Amino acid sequence: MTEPSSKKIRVTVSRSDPGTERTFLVERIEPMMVLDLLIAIQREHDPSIGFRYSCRVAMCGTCTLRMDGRAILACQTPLEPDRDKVRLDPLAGLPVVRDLVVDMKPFFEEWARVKPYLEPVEGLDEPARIRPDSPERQIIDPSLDCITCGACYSSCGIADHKRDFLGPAALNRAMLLIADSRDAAGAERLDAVTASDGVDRCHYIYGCSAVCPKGLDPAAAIRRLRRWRLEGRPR
Amino acid sequence: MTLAQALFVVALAGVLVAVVGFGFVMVSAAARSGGGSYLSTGLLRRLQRSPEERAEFNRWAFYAHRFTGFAVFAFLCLHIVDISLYTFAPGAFDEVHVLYGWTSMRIFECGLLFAILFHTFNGLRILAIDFADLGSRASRGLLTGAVVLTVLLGLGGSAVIMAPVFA
Repeated sequence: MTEPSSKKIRVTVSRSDPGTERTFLVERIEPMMVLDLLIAIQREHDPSIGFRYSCRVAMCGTCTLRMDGRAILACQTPLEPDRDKVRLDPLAGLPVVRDLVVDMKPFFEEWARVKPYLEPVEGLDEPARIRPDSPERQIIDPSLDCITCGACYSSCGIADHKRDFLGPAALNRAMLLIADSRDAAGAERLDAVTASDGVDRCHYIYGCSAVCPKGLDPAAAIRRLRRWRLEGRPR
Repeated sequence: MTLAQALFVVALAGVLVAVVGFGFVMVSAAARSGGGSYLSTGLLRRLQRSPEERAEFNRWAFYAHRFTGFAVFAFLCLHIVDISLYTFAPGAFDEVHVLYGWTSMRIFECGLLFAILFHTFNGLRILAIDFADLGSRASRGLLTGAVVLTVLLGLGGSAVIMAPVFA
């Protein structure tokens, strides 16, 4: 149940033209998500403002943007009751299409380079299972659930569409597929992620792990990949 | 001031301009595509509130590492030249090295010492992250250690460097 409040919040939003921004004074409701704020702006202040959203339940990864510099899912991030101003920007490191909407193509190009799908080993008994208590499952499970929202890519500090780096999401995906004994393309993926634009470009800023809305830890995946390069992948 | 000393001062000024320029480019790039929390009055409150926000310290360590790395490298280039003077112009070598006793040069050396110490300890921290498989929290702990060591050893070393000025 949302309640109207007499309080207002000052919202600064980046607009498409470089260096331009607009400030709105928006009436607060409690509780209020960042997405509620954007919808209020669009309905009551400026219908031309550009932003994206879809599922509202942290499944689609569409509404990712930056609040005070930090990448968030707008649909899942509440505004603290004592907050009286906020700044919203599009994701960093990706070309801006309009206002808060970015072109995710560079992100998905990196994603595609690690072959982000399972290539089944031939001759496995169907259905091929990995036991829940197996060490393999302990590696894979905490790295599942990526919604490809791009928050990690934005927070990376190294990943940028103008630079060569696979980025945290692609490396995390590669790690869990390499760990999967049902997958036949592990060696090929390990070669890809240990190339010059792969794991070595990570400087352990930990932005990726800090902002992941699903609680994944891509930095841990990168450390594991670096270890596997020396020790060989687990089999 | 002799010609050798004047050339050294000009070259050192060039190094300082390059370092400041590098810092400016780095900060501009970080503001454009770094993706970190903005430095604002609200940041302090957020740092106190959330461990995820405190991961930002790792980001600032990364930028500080780059900046100190470039500063040390830039000075090293000049230092190789002024040390190599000994092989072909020992007189000029002596003249240039008199400058290292100037108060302003000693202050510069203190800054250089802090840069070297931070770059060294932070570099070891990054190695330790790989070797010991450290997560964000543990790496922040190591960063605290690196900063404390840098400050302590930097202050101690600076006292030694500046002692002749106050003698």
